[in-house]
Amino acid sequence: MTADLIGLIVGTLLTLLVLSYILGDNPLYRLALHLLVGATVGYGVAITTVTVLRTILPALQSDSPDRVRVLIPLILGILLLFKGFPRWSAWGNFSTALLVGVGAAVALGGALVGTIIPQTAAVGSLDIWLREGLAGLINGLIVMIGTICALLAFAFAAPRQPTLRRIWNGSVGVLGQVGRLFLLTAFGAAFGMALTASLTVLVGRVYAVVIGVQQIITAVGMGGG
Amino acid sequence: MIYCPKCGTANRQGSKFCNECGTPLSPTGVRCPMCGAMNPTGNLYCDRCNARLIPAERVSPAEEKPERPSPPKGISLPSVPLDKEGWLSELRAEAEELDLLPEEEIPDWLKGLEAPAGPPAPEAPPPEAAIPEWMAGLEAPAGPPAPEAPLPEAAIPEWLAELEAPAGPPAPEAPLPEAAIPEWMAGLEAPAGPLAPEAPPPEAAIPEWLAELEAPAGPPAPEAPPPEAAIPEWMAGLEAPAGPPAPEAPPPKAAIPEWLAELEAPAGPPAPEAPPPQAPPPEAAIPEWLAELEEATPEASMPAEKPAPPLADIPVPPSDEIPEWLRDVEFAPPTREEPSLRPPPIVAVDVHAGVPPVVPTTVPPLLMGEEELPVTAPGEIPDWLKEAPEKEAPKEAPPEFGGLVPAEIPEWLRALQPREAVAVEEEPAEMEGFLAGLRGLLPIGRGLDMPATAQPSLPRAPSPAAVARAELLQGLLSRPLIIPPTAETREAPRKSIWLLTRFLVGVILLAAILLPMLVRLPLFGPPTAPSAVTLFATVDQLAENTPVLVAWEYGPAESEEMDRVAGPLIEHLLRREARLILVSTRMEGPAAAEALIASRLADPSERSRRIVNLGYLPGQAAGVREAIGNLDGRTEATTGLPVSQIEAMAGVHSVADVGMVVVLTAQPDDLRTWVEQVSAANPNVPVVAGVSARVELISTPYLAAGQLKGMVAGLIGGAVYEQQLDTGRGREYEYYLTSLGTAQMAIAALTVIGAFIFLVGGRKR
Repeated sequence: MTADLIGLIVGTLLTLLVLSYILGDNPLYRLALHLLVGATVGYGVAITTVTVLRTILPALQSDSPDRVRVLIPLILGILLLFKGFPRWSAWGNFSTALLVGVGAAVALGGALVGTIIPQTAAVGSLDIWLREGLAGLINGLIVMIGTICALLAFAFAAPRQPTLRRIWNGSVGVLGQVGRLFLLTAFGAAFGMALTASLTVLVGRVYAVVIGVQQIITAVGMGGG
Repeated sequence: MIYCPKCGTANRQGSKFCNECGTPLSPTGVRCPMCGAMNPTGNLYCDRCNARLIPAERVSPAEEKPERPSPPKGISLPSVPLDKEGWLSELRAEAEELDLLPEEEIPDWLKGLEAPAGPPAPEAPPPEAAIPEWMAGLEAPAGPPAPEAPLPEAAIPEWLAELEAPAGPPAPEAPLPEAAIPEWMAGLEAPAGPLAPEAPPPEAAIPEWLAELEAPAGPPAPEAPPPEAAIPEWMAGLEAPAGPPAPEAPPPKAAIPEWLAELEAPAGPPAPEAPPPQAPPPEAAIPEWLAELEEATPEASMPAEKPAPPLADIPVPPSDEIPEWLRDVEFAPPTREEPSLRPPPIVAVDVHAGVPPVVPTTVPPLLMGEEELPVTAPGEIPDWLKEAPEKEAPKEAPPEFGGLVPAEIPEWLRALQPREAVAVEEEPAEMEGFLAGLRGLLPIGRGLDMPATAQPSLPRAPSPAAVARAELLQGLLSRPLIIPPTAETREAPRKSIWLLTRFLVGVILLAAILLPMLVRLPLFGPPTAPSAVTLFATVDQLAENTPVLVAWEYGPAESEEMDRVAGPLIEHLLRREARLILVSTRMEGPAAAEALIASRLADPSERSRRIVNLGYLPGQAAGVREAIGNLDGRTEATTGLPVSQIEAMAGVHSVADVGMVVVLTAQPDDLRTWVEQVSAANPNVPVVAGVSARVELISTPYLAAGQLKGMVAGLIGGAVYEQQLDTGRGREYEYYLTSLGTAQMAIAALTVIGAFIFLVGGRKR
C-alpha cells in the first residue's frame, strides 16, 4: 500500500465526513472540521517560521550590507512580540504603527493608481465603449448609469427647503431607487457566482470520491489477488 | 409627638431628650394611681391593672366648670378634668350640709370623723387646758431649746418663745425690751413662717409692721374660747398616743395664739362646739388641690405617718344613729365608673371598723354598699381592706423604657419563647501545657463520651392527616405519567421534517452530479468564454524563456476548482517555455503550486531551470509591493537557495523584468491587491488572471478597463482554455461541466419548489 493510496483513502474518508453535514451537525463532521483547522494552522505556523528564518538567518550570517537591512526589521519584529504582554505592550507600539502606516499607505496608493482612477476613467471612456461595437456601447452606458445610480442609492441626505427637497426627491430619489435595483442585481449575480463556485467544488469532491473508491477497490483487488 | 418645654421642638414619641436642645423630656402618659404603671395618653383604663385612670364624668350643666391652665408643652395630661362629673363637688356639698346640722343631731363620733374632712379652723384656738400633751410634743421639736425669753410672761408663753427662737437671730445675752428689736430682726422674722404673725405680743410691744403682717394672715379670733369641758372624750383618746410625751409644760390657756390653732387643726379634730366660721371654699377652689394630686406621685401621696388614734378609744355609734344622707354618700356601692382617686380632704371611713382615714389613692374600695358592709368588731380591719393591699403590694412596678411599659406576653407567645439553654457541663481544666488551668478549650472528651449508637426513637402512630396526605401522594404517584408538550417536544416533528428535507436536497444534488457519469446528457452546448480566448492568445504570444511572475493565491480548499482553472494556463506557459516565478501571500499557496506544477510539468529535471518558488510573502499589500520590487533578494522555498543562484531567475530583479504577471486566486481581495500593486509599480507589465467563479464578477471591470489582458474564470473558463489548449482532458471537463449544469438545475428546481411551498403552505417558518 503506497502513500498515494493511503492519502486517497484518507482524503475519501474525510470528504465523506464533511459531506455528512447534510444530515446536520454531527461528530463526524466535527472531526473532519477540526482536522482541517488544525492542519491548516500547524502548516501555517511551520511555513511562517521557516520562511522568516530562511530569510533572516542567511542575511545575518553574511557580511554584506543586507545584514543591517535585515537587522532593523528583526528588532522591530522582536518589539512586536511585547504586544502579547499588557505590561510591556507599549514597546510594540512603534512596530505596530509602522506596520499600519506602511500598509495603509501602500494599500491606498495602490487603490488610487490601480482601481479608482482606472475604473473611473473606464466608466466614461467612449473609446472603450466603442471597442466592441454597439454591444460595447450599450454595455458601457449600462455600466455608467448603473455606477451613478448605485452611488446615488447611498445619498441619504436631502435639502431642507421644500422646493429643493421635492426636486431632490424627484431626481436623486428616483435614481437612487434605480441604483438599488442595480445593487440587487449585482448581489444576486455575486450569489449565483459564489454558488457556482461551491457547486464546482462539490462536483470535484464527488468525482474525487468516486474515482478514489474505484482506485481503492482496484488497489485492494490487486493486492488481494 | 412630644414638644420640648424649652424650645418647643417636636420630638418623637418616647424621646427622652430634645433633639434640638437636649432638654430632658418628661415621659408622656398617665400614671395609674393603683399600680403606678405609665399608660399612654388617652387610656381610660390602666393597661396593667385595668383600673380607671380618669374619673367618670357627671355632667351637671348648672355647675360652672373651672378653667384649667393649659399644660406645658411636652407633658401630656389627661384632657378630661378629674372633677368633670362633679362628684367631688357633690361630696363637698354634702359635707357642708353635714356641718350645718344641729349639733345635737350629730353624734360625737361623727363629729370626730368629720373634723378632718372639713377645712381647718384656725379661728378656734382650743382653750389652754384643752391642749393635750401630745400637741405640746408636736410643738416641741419645732425649735431648739429656747433662750431666755425676753418677752413678758403674760404676753408670750415660754413654749412660744422656744418656737420663735430659731426663726430669729440668736438672742443676745442681754435681754432686750420688745421695743428694742431692730428692724433687721423683724425682717428676718417675717418670712420665717406663719409663726411670727400669730404670736400675740402685747399691743405696746408689737411694731406696726408686725401688725400689718398679722392682720391678713389670721382670721379673727373667737370671742369666747370653748371651755375645756367641751372637748370630747374621743379627742383625748386620739391625742394621747399620737404625740410624744411633752417635755415641757403646756403653755397657758390664754397664751395660745391663733397660728397655733392652724398648726393644731390638722393634727387633731377641732372642737365641735366651734364650727368653722369661714364659708366652705367655692367650687372653683377644688381644681387646685386636684392639680396637686395630679402632680404628686403615688409614693408621695402615700398616707403620711400620722399618728392614728387607738381604735378602742373611738366610740362606735349604733347603726341607727347614722343619718340617711351619710349612708347614701359614704356607703355607696363601688362601681366601675366610681373613681378610685379621692381627694384627700374628703375621706370616707368605715365607721364600724373605726379605721382612721387613709389617703384613698392607695385603697381602692373605699365605699361599700350598706348591704355588703360587713359587721366587724371595733378595731378589726374589714375584709375588703385586707384584700386591697394584697392586690397591690405583690405587684412590682415593671421597668419603664421612655415612659413605655412592656406589654404582657400572651400564652401562645410564651409557648414560642426559646427555652433556656441547657447548662453546658463544665469542661475539666487543663492540667499541663500552655493551657493549664483553662477550661473548655479542647472539648475532646465530649465527643468521646458520646454513645456509640443513637437511641432509637419510639415509632409514633401517624396522625389521620398524615395518612391522608400519604394516600394522596401515593395516588398521584400511581397515576400514569403525562408530560405536557414542551417547546422541545413541539419542535421535534419540525426538526425531523427539516432533517428529512436536508437529506432529500443532498440526495437530489448527488444524483444530479453523478448522473452525467452514468448517462451522457447532451443538455448543454459547448462553453463560451471570450476572456479565456483572449488570455490564451496573450499567453500564446509570449516569447520563449520569458520570465512570468505567478501569484498563487489559493490553497487546498479551493484547489478543486482552481486547479481546473490554473492547470490549462500553467501548462500553456510551460509549453511556451516560460520561466515561472511562483510567489504567494497565502501560507498554503506554495504547496498548492508545487502540487499542480508537478502534475503539469512533463520533465521534472527541468524544474530548476523553469520553475522558481519564492514561497510565502507576509505583509499582504506591503509584502506584495516589496516582493515585486525585490524579486532576486529572496531564497527559494523548496531548496533554500538564494534565488539569485537559480537559473530560472536569471536577469530578473523586479516585476519590471518579467514578461507577464499571472494572478491565480479564489478571493477578490487578492486579485485587487495584485492588480493595484503591479499597476502602481509598473503599469506596463501585462496582468492576467485565472480566478474562481465567485471572483469573476469583481475581475470583469478590470478586464473591461484593460487592466487585465485576459482572464480565465471558473470551470467554464478552464474548460474553454482546455479546449483551446487541447491537453486531452476535455472529457473530464465535459463531465464536470455537465454535472455542474445539472446541479445548478437541481438547485434551481429546489429553490422554485421551496418558494412555492412557502407561498402556498403559509408564511410561517
